[in-house]
Amino acid sequence: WRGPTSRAAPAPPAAPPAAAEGLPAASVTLAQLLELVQQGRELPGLERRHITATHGEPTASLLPRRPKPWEATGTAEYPRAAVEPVPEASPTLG
Amino acid sequence: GCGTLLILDQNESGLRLFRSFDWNDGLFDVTWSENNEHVLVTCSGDGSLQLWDTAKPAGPLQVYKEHTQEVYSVDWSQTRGEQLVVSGSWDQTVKLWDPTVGRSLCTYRGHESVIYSTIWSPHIPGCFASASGDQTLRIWDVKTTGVRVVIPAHQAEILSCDWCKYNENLLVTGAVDCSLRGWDLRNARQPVFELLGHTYAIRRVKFSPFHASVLASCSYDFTVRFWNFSKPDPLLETVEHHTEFTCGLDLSLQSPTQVMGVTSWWFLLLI
Repeated sequence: WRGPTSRAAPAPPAAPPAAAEGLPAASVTLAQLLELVQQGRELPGLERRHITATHGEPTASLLPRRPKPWEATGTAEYPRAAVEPVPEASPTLG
Repeated sequence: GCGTLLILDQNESGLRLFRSFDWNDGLFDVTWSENNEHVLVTCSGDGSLQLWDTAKPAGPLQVYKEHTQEVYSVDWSQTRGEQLVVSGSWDQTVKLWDPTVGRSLCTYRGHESVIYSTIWSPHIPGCFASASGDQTLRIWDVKTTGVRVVIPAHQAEILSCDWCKYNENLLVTGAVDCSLRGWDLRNARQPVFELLGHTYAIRRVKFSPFHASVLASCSYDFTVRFWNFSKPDPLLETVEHHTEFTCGLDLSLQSPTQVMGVTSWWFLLLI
């Protein structure tokens, strides 16, 4: 339900038949849930947390930074991929 | 909903859960500090970033709230001598952070739609790329607020991008059009490669840390694929996933870590 990316995902299962009357307040149909989420409204029955920052200092680091695999050979001498710049009029490679 | 960050530890007998942290809203991305093995940063659907210490179970050390919509991407700078984090948001901005400072250092505007990915160059200090629903790949430099390069890379939303670890001019984009395209910044008018095979949108793409022309991609088509773009037949391997992966994406309010978990697993495969 997070906007554009949902367009690319496989289709969600069909919504269950609407049966809002007589249900406890915490329960909604899939269609109602969709509407609430799209409107950015509070969802019933959902536990809200109130986690906040502790503002503590990070635990002191004990390990030295390890070089990345591509850094292993030093600053200027890493192997370069064999990619040639593509001239303007030519088709794409591959 | 809420989100959970899982810290996994790998040893001879496999993966185990080291610690978990809860947050008030879903978590979309995670990045480790480059200068402290205990520290990592996550970003959330509520527009904030969190700084965590794996040695402290109590909660995030810091919370950085400026973005006005979901933050979909965070990355810690890879080049030495810096301690910078870049975040990309659905509010169409990229923000630069120093984790020791409570406010962002800079805000980068220009994208005309949601931002899905922001990634530091592993070689060029202060340089990062962003991928967006506006179908462009953009290159930025912390020394200026205006964009440096705009590449109309696809005719579809671009959900992921990454830098080649062995060629500082080369990037890859992965898009909703199911394709991966390579871009050389020295001449970005045409892609230098195009990899086809996925049957749904590309969710994430990463260049290999070990091989100049190898990369991996995962997609809403339930697969992870490995490619070598320098080969005439570039597809190396296709790995089918369990349905947990897609469920994690479709129902991301409840299970964002399933996405993280797959990405983490995927990195364990490469590194």
